[in-house]
Amino acid sequence: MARLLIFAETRAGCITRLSLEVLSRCREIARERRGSTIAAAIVSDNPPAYFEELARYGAEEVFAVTDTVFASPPRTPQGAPLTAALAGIIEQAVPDVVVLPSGETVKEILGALAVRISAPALPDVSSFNVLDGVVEAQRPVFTAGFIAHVRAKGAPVLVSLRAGSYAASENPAPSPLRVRNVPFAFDAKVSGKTLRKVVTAASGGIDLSEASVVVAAGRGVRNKKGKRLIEELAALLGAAIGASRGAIETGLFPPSSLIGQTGKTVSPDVYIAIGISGALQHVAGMSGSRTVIAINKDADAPVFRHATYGIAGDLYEVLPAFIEALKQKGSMVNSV
Amino acid sequence: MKFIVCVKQVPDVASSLRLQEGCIDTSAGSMVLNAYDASAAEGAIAFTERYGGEVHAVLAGPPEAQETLRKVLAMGAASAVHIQVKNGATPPGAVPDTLPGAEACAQILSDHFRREIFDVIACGKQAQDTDAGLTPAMLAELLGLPFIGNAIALERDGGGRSGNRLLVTRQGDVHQEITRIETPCVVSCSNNMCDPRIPNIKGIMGARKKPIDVKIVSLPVGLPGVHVQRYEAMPGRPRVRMLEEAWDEAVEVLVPFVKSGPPAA
Ligand SMILES: Cc1cc2nc3c(=O)[nH]c(=O)nc-3n(C[C@H](O)[C@H](O)[C@H](O)COP(=O)(O)OP(=O)(O)OC[C@H]3O[C@@H](n4cnc5c(N)ncnc54)[C@H](O)[C@@H]3O)c2cc1C
Ligand SMILES: Nc1ncnc2c1ncn2[C@@H]1O[C@H](COP(=O)(O)O)[C@@H](O)[C@H]1O
Repeated sequence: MARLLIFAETRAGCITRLSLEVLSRCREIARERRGSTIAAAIVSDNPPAYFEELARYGAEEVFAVTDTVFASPPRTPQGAPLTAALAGIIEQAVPDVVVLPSGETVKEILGALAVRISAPALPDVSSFNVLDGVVEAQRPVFTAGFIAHVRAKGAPVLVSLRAGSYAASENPAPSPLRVRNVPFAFDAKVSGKTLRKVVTAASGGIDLSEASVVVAAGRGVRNKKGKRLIEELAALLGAAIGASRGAIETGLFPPSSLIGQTGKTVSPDVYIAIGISGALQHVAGMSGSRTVIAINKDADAPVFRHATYGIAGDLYEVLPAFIEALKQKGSMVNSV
Repeated sequence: MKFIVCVKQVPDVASSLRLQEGCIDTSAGSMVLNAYDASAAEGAIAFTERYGGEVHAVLAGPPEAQETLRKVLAMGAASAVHIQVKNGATPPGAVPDTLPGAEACAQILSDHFRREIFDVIACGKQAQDTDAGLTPAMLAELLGLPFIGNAIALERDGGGRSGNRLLVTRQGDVHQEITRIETPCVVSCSNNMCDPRIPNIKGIMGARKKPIDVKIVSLPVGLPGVHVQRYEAMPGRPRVRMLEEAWDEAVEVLVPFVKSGPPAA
């Protein structure tokens, strides 16, 4: 038996896909460990907007903090109030394990939360399980060169989960949600921080964490023409566009699309690396992808060691023909 | 402003690290300054070159880690403190005990900082060996200081020599946030903030004369229990299939995802 608490992060009026993956994994664990309970922590200016979705993915109980400080877009930095809100919820919920989605929001606060509630933390794990009184997890370390098998004991243990580690699935038999409101007061003046400006990169495309297919551009994509080819391929596949550091440095792609050790972790069904050399730090963010297709004009590029299928060729020649082939095959299949 | 940069010595992830009975053997590889800490040092040094101030460095690690401090001094830091753990206790920084290190490390560093005067503690966003990214926020919490993680730019807020606030740009999942933060504070830096300078001969020679203060401390006790059981190789992929001409297999994999639209002209 284990009391599981998940942090459901919200963005643009929805619960993030990664939070739903966290919730779905907890449901699997609860199924194996009879008598386990799954609660969700939600921190928002309007928590009830998310209750239905939380129940649908398996939450039985929700601990809600309601405050305008959590309105979107934010008017104050979120780190300090979020740490306080989660510490308050954990005190009420008394969980054995708290599982959080390992995005930038959680990365900024996990250490502070661990210290505040004297809990051990297992950050950025790629899998985890709850045994009697302990959490066992696997963490990619050394720039994802190795996997560390780690174990932590505590009341609770904090775990943050990497994107794409488990599939998000709905609960076929959702139970009615019990709602607990947790009191919260935060004085922004004492946080020592004032938000001056939020800069939003113009992307508007599909979110990297939500996509089944990711089209990732590297430094080989060196101009507008190359970018248009990437966009055309992504649109055709309903794919999200990611980028390597080399591509971000050209200024053609926004920094929020960076994939790798510094950037995001993605594990789509198919990852298409185009004009990317395959540096360790890039591979660290995409090695969990199920199928990898790499296009590079250098047949010896390291990226081919991390690929399922390789195409050695100039992307400016390969992509137009590749896109054409996909359109042909795609329309044939669709018309059958 | 006075910056103190927290730096860690880590095995070079690009060097030959091998697995031996569940441990990582780093003996064949070389030890280097954690890349994110190099960016933190560069960011701090560039800031003080522009606005005035000074940069110091602190490292917790074994005696051999001194060369990493020398590197930061060669980049332009004025002095350094080298914290070593006494009685052969496993120092945070040893392998495979690196991973439980964040709690211990934050504790050791916070004890140190309680006796220091500074405006900004600059850390790297994560250590390249543990990939934990916990220490900076833990340190800020232990010291009761404001914290911003994953900074990509450091500016001074307001004019005048006395400007005592920092303007930090942070990369979030979707947005960048530009935030004014009071000092003293803690920031953790992304490598996307700047490219660290390569020390020149003058810097390297000068660094030999700069002071490194060695402090011996005991390993903190009673910390939450995180244990590494063993390490394992990252599962590799089967050998790549290089495709020719029509790239049939790759096209096949992608066809189910093709959006149905008007058929190709
Ligand atoms: C601490 C640290 C963290 C880092 N974090 C990240 C991270 O999160 N993400 C990341 O991506 N990088 C990261 N990096 C940088 C990383 O080490 C590499 O420098 C970077 O990934 C290189 O990007 P790239 O492959 O696009 O560019 P390059 O290495 O320059 O490779 C370009 C590739 O494109 C190919 N090419 C060129 N023209 C064409 C063409 N016309 N058609 C086909 N192929 C072509 C070339 O053969 C080459 O292989 C990090 C580095 C450090 C030190
Ligand atoms: N042994 C250490 N000595 C000094 N600073 C450290 C040490 N370990 C970690 N840090 C700092 O904390 C950051 C994050 O480390 P970690 O939490 O281990 O990923 C590093 O980039 C350093 O700035």
